[in-house]
Amino acid sequence: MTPKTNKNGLTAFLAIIRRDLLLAYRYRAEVINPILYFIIIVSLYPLAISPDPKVLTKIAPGIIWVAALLASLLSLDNLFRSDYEDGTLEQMLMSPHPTGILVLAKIVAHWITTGLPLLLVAPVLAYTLHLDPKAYSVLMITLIIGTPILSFVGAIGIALTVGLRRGGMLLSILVLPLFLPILVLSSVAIQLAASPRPAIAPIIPGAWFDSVVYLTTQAPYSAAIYTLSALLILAITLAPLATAAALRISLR
Amino acid sequence: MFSSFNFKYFIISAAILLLLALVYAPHSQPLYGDPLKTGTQTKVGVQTEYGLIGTDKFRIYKSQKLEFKYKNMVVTEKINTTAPTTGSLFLLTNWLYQLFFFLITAIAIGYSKPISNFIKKTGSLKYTYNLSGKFIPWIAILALLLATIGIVDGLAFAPTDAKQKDSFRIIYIHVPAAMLCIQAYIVMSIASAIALIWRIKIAEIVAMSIAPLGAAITAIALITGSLWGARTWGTWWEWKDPRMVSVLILFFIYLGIMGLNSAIEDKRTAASATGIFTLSAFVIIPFIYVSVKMFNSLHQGSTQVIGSSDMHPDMARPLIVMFFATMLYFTFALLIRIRGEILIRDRKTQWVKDIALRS
Amino acid sequence: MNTLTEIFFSGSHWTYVWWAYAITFIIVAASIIIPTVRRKKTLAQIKRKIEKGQQ
Repeated sequence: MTPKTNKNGLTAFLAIIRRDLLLAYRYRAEVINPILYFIIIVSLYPLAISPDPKVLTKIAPGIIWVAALLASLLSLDNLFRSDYEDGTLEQMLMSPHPTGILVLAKIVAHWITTGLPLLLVAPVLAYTLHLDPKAYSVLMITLIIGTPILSFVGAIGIALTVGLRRGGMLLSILVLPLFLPILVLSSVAIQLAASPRPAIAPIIPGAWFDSVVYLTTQAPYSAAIYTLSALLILAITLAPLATAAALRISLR
Repeated sequence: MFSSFNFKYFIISAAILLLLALVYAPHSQPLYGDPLKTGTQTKVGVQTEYGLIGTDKFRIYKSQKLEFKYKNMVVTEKINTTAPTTGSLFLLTNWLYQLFFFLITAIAIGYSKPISNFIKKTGSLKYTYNLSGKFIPWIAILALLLATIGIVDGLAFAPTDAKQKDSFRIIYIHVPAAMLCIQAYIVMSIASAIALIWRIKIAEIVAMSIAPLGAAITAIALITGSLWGARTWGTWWEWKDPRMVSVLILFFIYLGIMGLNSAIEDKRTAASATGIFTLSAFVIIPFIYVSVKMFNSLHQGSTQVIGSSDMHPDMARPLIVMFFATMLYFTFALLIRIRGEILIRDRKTQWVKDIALRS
Repeated sequence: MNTLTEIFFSGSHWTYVWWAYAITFIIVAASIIIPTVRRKKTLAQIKRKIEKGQQ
């Protein structure tokens, strides 16, 4: 950990991110498991519901989002567990830096190791599910905005249940209702983008700024993306504080 | 002068008064959305009947006459709607005005000795137990009386609705229950905040006692809504309806809070943990409010009941009575739960032993 | 018995109203009776403990 004489919060933030990324690099299986889980869940749907491309096109946004949600829920269990077991977490709470910043660093590192790989795999899986080509940009935008919210909100739940023996099921019961609005908003946005009604501006390299303006202000799904962005800002600012308070209570 | 000002009680009373504002504001003016006057006065021939609530399809922001044929009768429907922008602006100023009013009242309470003393005393579990014991029978009698009046009035004397016939009478439990399940969550959040900040025992007990009660009230709202929908929309459950789904999420959150509360052994730790979760899950409350406006839905918008209302006065009266009855019921059921919880918490003290020996 | 069937199963507008009010009544009654019984039980338990201690 950082020495006590160094009271710079940013240094602690970066140190924790570096440490967690290094840990993830040493235990590469931990990083690959959520992706595998994501891919397997996505592949369950065509087998269980229907391999018909028309059906798959319709339900593809929902499948990808449900799979992403479950994958991030599963990977959340590792967020504080190992630190709790070897006592690092208590040291973190006793350090002179504000706990909120340390928690923020842990969540960001966790998102880099679990959320970012999902973003890379998602378009490939969307292609196998015959997602409407118009909807790819919105799928990626909702995933970029949405998966951090899942990590931040889930962190509160995992911090509350970290000290409990049978916390796994309880975590799902606590956190899944909070995930539902994000799921609904994202899949509504993607479905609106895929619907034939609006003319969708493709992302043109030369006129990228116009495309961005269109995507964020004029498109029919922009309300959903606004709301998701608002939730992300809310989550970034408040969730680390709530997580820090929850950790203090869990370790009391 | 400033030495006598009690900041702690100022904050507590401000929170309680803010709650009152939240409880009161939706009744006076809809806090969310615009004060739409949806088309409700339906003229069939010469007979004038009052409709209950217009659907979203009739949201036209100006006065308009619609004529259509229904079973060989020419139906003329007059739709008067106010422009939404002026309404929203008016609501904002009204809301700010209320906030200002309550802030001044809170400052007055912060200075006032007797009220501060009263709040201080309610911090003691014994005092709360004895005081609520005195109030409970009266609250119960009043709640029962009002509920009887409201239900009899609503079932027997309110006129039949033009569109929904007699099935609209579910409104007299559905709407108060739906309002109460949200307000219960707001009360629980405020109590949790007080418990987390000042670690006041009674606030912890209040927050913990509301969760099962809120779950029960949410269940009532969902079940009656489902029955109502089965008759008027022709479906028991509609996933497309955001209001239904968001209230279902609220129900899950209540259950999650109960689960977390029972999973942690130590009662005070459990109360703190549930408090943090309650405050985090508060995000869902604005969603429930805006859900109907946000997505196209089957669910009707809320109608203004008090003031210049489109509802027939005979229809609105039982509803207003039922609002008060449900609030009194909530207070009553909550106080019973609080008393039980106080006894369990204080079971090793002498005053509880005295009560046990006397019983 | 016949009237009960008519009230709850005839499928008219009133049927739904009766069902809604009946279910609400059950939940409300349960939410009042359960904590009252639990409080009485707690008191009885405390009393038993005290009496055991005195003997």
